[in-house]
Amino acid sequence: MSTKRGSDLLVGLVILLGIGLLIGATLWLQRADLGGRKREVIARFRDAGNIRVGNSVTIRGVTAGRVDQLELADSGWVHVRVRLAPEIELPPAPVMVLYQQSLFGEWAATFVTRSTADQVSDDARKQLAEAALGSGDILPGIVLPDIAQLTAVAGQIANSFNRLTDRFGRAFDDSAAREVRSTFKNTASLARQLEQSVKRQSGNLDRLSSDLLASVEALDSAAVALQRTAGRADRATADGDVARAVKDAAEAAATLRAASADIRSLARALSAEQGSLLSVLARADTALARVTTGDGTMGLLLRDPSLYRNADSLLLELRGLAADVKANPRKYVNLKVF
Amino acid sequence: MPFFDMATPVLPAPPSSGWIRAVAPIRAIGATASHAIADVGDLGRFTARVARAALDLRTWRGQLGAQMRSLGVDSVPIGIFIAVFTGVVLALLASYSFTKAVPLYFVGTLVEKTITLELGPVLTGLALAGRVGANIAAELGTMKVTEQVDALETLAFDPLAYLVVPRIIAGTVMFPVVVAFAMVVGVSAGWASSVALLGMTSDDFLKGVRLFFGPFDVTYGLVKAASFGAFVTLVGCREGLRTRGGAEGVGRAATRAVVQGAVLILVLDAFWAITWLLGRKT
Repeated sequence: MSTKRGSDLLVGLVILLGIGLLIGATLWLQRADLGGRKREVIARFRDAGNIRVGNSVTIRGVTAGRVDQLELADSGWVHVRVRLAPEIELPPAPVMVLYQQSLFGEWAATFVTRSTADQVSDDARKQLAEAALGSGDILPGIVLPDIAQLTAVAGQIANSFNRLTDRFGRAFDDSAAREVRSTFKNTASLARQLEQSVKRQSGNLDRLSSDLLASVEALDSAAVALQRTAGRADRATADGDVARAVKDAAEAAATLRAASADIRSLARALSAEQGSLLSVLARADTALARVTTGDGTMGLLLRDPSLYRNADSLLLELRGLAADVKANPRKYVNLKVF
Repeated sequence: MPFFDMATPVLPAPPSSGWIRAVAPIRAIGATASHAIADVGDLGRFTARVARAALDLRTWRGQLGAQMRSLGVDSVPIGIFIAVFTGVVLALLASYSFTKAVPLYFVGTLVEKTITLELGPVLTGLALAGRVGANIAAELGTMKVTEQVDALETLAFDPLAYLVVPRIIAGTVMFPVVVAFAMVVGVSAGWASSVALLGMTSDDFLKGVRLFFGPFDVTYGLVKAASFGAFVTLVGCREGLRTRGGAEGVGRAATRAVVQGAVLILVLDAFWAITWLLGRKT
């Protein structure tokens, strides 16, 4: 009987030990709050993302608690309840932020100030404004996009970039490359020409500047000479040389006036001769016009072919007559002295 | 000659030997299927009889403690032994797989999930199928071939209530206890090997363990272990009571009990995964 009792005791101990071990390990792994010393904080969200019960809660990067409960609330809200160590101080105007902690699906919650949350993004600001409206004791919360969403956006960007490069590839074919190459060559040639031109212009500028410098120097010396001349003129005024010069100039002007009168009379005579010449030319022009139109003897002579033919035949006859006279002078000349 | 000779019965022509050889594979398939279905039906009938016998509390209550010690407490060392090496190997395999690709603290996640959900219950169950199933089949088979079972019936004891019910209850209760030890020891072994062999810190390992740990993992493993215990002992008892032919028959019964127990464990593992894990989110 005692053996049976010992056996039962052993069995009972093993069962209790196994159950106790398992329950203890579970509670320890879940960081169970057996004494109820931790405090609860609840925040509300439109969507809790992939946060799960048991995910960690961090404040400024330090683990401060864990997510305790997720529940659907009225008006389309999701309440996320977290348990924090009692000594944890939340930041002023706290906002709960749910975010993906790593690429492997770990999510976490954290608390930031309202001003910090406002700076996250426009979407976060809208979420926050909605969640904060009439929330009472429940904190507002925002959910940051997870890696999958960011990856999807990155994928869209990559697709756009791919399309862009594809179009660029189609547009930038061999002929375009050749054109670009020739453009580069032309540009290089143009650059060389510009360089030569710049060198030439630089030489010209050098010369111009040296000429300018010489001109300035000449002006400078002219100014000196002028100053000197002014000084002499000043002295000449004082000696009566100017009065003599004025008198001589008056005499020269009188001489010039007489000469111009002679020139004027000569011009008038020439003008008369010009009139006679013009009338002669007019008459000659009229006569030539008549000749051109075939009027008059000269006109007929120049314009009438029959007259030309008659004159020509007359000339032939005269030549024949002359030849006949030479051959037979006695036929026409019968000179008798006595 | 009459048109019908009523005195001579008209029998179908006997099939030729070639035709018999042609349909032999089909007959074999049919026979195997019939045998398997009959076996399942027989197990069902046996289960129903055991359930009725379980109502005879006074008969089996006195045997329960001894069976729990024999099947459960005495199996704890082998469960712990398996769990230690499973935890060590899992940690090393995980670190090998995660090299430069996944943070090393996921070793803790993999060790915890694998041990509690799968390897703890299944490996322990397979080990106990060998130890417990063979033990029960051999014990009851020996009692059967030596007519001790008949003697119990002669003494107005229901053999099912006296021999089978306490073993099945003990298996159902004690398998989860053994598996609970295996879970704790297996994860602890993985933790120790991660710290000692992989250079991980305890904080990293525990971070990985806690990352996706939930009470469901433990519940799922324990329920599976209970179902394994129930079916391993059920099959062992049935094969033991069906033993025929002396010591050779006892050996065959033990072998069948181990094989059927192992197969049932795998089938139940798939059953629980499909019915309980499929579509469930962590």
